[in-house]
Amino acid sequence: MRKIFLSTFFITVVFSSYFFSPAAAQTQSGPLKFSSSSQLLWGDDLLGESQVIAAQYLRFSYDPEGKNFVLTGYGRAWKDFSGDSIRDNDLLGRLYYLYLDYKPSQTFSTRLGRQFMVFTAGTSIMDGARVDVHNIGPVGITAAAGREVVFSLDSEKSRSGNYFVGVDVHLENVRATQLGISYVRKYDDSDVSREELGMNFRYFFKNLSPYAEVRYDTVSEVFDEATVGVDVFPIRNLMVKAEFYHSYPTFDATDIYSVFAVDKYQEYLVRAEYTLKAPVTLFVSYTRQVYDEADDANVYTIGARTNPTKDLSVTASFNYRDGYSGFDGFTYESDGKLYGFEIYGDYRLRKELLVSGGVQYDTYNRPELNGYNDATRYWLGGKWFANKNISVSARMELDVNPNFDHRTLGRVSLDWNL
Amino acid sequence: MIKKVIILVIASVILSPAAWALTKHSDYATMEIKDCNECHAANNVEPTHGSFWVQEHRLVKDKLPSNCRDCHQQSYCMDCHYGGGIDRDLHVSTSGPDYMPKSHRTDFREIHPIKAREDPRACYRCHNAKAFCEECHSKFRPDQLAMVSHRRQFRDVNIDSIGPVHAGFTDLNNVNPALCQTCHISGVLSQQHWSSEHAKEARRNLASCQTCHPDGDVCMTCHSAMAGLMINPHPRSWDSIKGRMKSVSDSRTCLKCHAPGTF
Repeated sequence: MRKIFLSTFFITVVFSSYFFSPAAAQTQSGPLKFSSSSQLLWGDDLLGESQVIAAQYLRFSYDPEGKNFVLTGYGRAWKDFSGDSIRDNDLLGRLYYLYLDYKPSQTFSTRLGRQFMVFTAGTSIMDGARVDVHNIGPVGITAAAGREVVFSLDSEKSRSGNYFVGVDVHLENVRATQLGISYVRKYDDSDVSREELGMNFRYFFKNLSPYAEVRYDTVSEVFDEATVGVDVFPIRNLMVKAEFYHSYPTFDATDIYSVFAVDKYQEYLVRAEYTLKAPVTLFVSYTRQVYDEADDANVYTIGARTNPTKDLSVTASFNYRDGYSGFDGFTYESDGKLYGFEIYGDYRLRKELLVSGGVQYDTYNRPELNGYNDATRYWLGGKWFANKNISVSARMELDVNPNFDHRTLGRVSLDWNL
Repeated sequence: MIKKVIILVIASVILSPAAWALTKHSDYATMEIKDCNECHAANNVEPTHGSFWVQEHRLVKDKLPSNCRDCHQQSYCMDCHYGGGIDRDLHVSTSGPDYMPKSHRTDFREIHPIKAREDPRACYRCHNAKAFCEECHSKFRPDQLAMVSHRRQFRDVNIDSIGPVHAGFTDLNNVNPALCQTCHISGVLSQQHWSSEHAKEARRNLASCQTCHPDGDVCMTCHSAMAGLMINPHPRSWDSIKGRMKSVSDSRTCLKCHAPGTF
């Protein structure tokens, strides 16, 4: 299957490159929209061994005028020319999606093929069918079923009997209101591995927007995820968010870990984002993380974003986390710190040239470490737009941390659209 | 809790004004984000792609049938969640051929243990523990990855003043397994902090165990009902859920630790 995909992929790329050369890319596009990205990436892998990777992305959609179907696809082929210390060095491929949209009427549509399905109750990449029925009064229904696709680091690890089934009933076109209820069931080797109910809700009052998202695991009989919050707009350009989040880890019922006792985790957070009249946005966040047995941590973020001119934007933020970070060797709670900053910016030097750069810095400790460690990342990149459809970009990154005195990562990319 | 949810659902339906809607975001799909947010701010709507977008988009994506797909192709989601990079901007770093979301900053190899100990679900929104985490973890030496509780028991701690020097057993490939059995009868660890108190560590983030022990074989050394110490690992609510767990998995999970007909 993989060889067929890779062969098809490369034939398509070569074929397309011949017929849709950059010169042709400047012509008016027809029903076929086509994006290609040819990339070369190099640097040290996590074990310090140098790697050189060539990757070719291809994305397309075919939308013939006057027809009620659209064909869409996206995939990547890549080859690591170095060793196989962490990643495989074969010629590899990944088909992210390839589907046919068919919409015979305004109230009914379907999507067939590999696709990413997102319900509140669960998500999946699946090879299957999605059906949307709209405007049943104020209600719409989305249903999906298919073979579940599981990606590993470099390949697919889908097993026989992995299936995904889901349905979502939601309000459509109801002013100021979002409400959806969903059900998802997953199969592993034809046995039920997951069964979840989900609900999402949001309502827009004039200055207030309460919202909620809940997931209930019907096998473990627990709310494995719940979020309840409210966005408040006390004055124009200021948003304050207050939110409670609850999480309870559950596992596939076919997995041995599903029978073990686990602890819940909860968060209380407050965030604010304020846009000044001048081109400056300020943001601040505080999160209290609560673990079982009274362990906790506090996480703070403060930052600003500015666009002093049309061509320049700069963002800077500082993060500080203090609290539970694991257990020491005798399973006593151990507090740790993680704090640092990030600053990055984009500057359009000319209409056809964008330059970007940034610095990230973190200091951290955790039970496994003696004292504090520092990690810094510097990066610089540029993108040249040859015309509306063709661009070339390059990026260099330097990492300095306890594992690397000097780790570089680089990439160049030729991107074009038709 | 279920009652509260039902009341919330009913109340929200009753409160919903039955007017048909207005805004088709797909009409604005090519606008710049800052222009989108001018409209959002004017209408008291949370900024889209704002300063905390990485954390907050989880709720935005819930709205069906569209929302995200009003403006984005599926590749926009997949490139972060599954490592692709056809549209990645210059801000994003890579790991091998894969592009990493902005949450993976500085040296994420070093920082991710702290992050993973926060919300246990966070990693698994994008990564499959069996298919992703374990594959990378298996490339590193176990003693580089193991939590301190593991290391102290095996390598750093002497059992007592006359006990064996465990550091000498670090290279498991060169150890005769029969030698371990002289102290660890039936493969069971001795009664030290790890074996008596590791439950706290495992309960706090069981998924992290799975990243190195994907099939849980090491757990069954003590938690199987058929061998070893036969320690019951089930939660307090087990009696109420075990029937359902058994039926949906066709008993295959139960049979990993229990003999047929005994559960």
